[in-house]
Amino acid sequence: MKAIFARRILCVLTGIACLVFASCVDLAHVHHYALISENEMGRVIGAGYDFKQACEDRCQMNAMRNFDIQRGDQCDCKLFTEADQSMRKIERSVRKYFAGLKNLSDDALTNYKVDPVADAIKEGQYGTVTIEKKQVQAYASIAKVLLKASTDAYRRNKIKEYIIEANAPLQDLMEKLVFILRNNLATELDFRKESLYAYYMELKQSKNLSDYEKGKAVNDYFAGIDDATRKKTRILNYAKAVEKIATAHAELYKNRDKLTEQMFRSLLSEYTNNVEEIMESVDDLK
Amino acid sequence: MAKLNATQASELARHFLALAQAIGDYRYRNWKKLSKKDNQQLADFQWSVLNCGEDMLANSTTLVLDDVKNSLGKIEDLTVKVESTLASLAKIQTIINCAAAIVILGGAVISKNPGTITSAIEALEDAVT
Repeated sequence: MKAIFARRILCVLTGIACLVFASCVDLAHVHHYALISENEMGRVIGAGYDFKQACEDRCQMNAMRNFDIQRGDQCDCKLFTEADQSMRKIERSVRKYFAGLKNLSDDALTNYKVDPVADAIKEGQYGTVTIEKKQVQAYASIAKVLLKASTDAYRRNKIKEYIIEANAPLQDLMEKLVFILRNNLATELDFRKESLYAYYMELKQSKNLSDYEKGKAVNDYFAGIDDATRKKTRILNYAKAVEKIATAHAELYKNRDKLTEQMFRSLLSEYTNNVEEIMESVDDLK
Repeated sequence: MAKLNATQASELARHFLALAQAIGDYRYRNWKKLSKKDNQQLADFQWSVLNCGEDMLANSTTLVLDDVKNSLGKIEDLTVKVESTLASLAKIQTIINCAAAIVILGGAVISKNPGTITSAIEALEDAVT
């Protein structure tokens, strides 16, 4: 009798274990993608340049040109601060979504501890029912596996549901973020370069400089141009990474029914690696 | 007059950059021919165009927010839903702990040991909070 009971338990456990492995273990690649995406969004701050910085640089340039220095705040950067706030609002929303996706796809989320229940159920005689120690352990194991199977299936369905719901607005937000980075923030640096050129050309034409000052001016000009070029490259690379993150999400959406398939896992990993590589190049430019 | 959208404002800014470059090139080429006053006037115009262009880029960025209002709202609502799902999944552990504490309390009540009952109640309180 006991042997039959043990065999049945084993069968049930094996069946449920198969269900669990088939349903949940492959979300690690979604988790990794969401983790990288969350980390890399908001890199403009790390890229060391924003609209307010553009305003301050311009203000300093105007002050140098007119030799106009004042005590206290000299620059009115309200418009530029608002631009930063708009950009950050988009970034923050996208980041929060990826943080949620990261947490939801984290396998640890549904690794519940059922030990307290097993500890609570003691072996012994309960009226007509006798509970043995190995049965207590078996019940605890079944509970754990059942719980994992059901919560993982729920989790996977929810992830699929959220990916469907998020894709269109996410693509829109990321496209607009790329537009801001590529067309506006990076172009601020083209203005910076032109201002440097105009300032040093005026110095050159005025012919009031000594030979030493001329050399120094040329040096300063090249240093300024180099700095602006580096910042621009960082911003453009960040835009490229945002684009990759968006493309990867579009793939997630397209393959939402194949989340656990090996081919899709490799594809998503490739995108994630690309994002990491691009962002490493952003770090190298610092 | 119709309001500029983000893309138009950004394009206009790039035209301003080209205009400032053209004014600058003209000044540098004709530096000797231009009177000091004319040169100064052109210089002021050149720098104003540069400043306007930069303002325009910041403006364009602020205008993007109008375009994405709808998407922003959708993603924010969705994030709230994800957080609520996360909270409900995390609550399962609390329920397990509560169930265990209730079983222990039941055992303690059957044993009629006041000391065990008190500690079981404390454990249940901990599990609930």
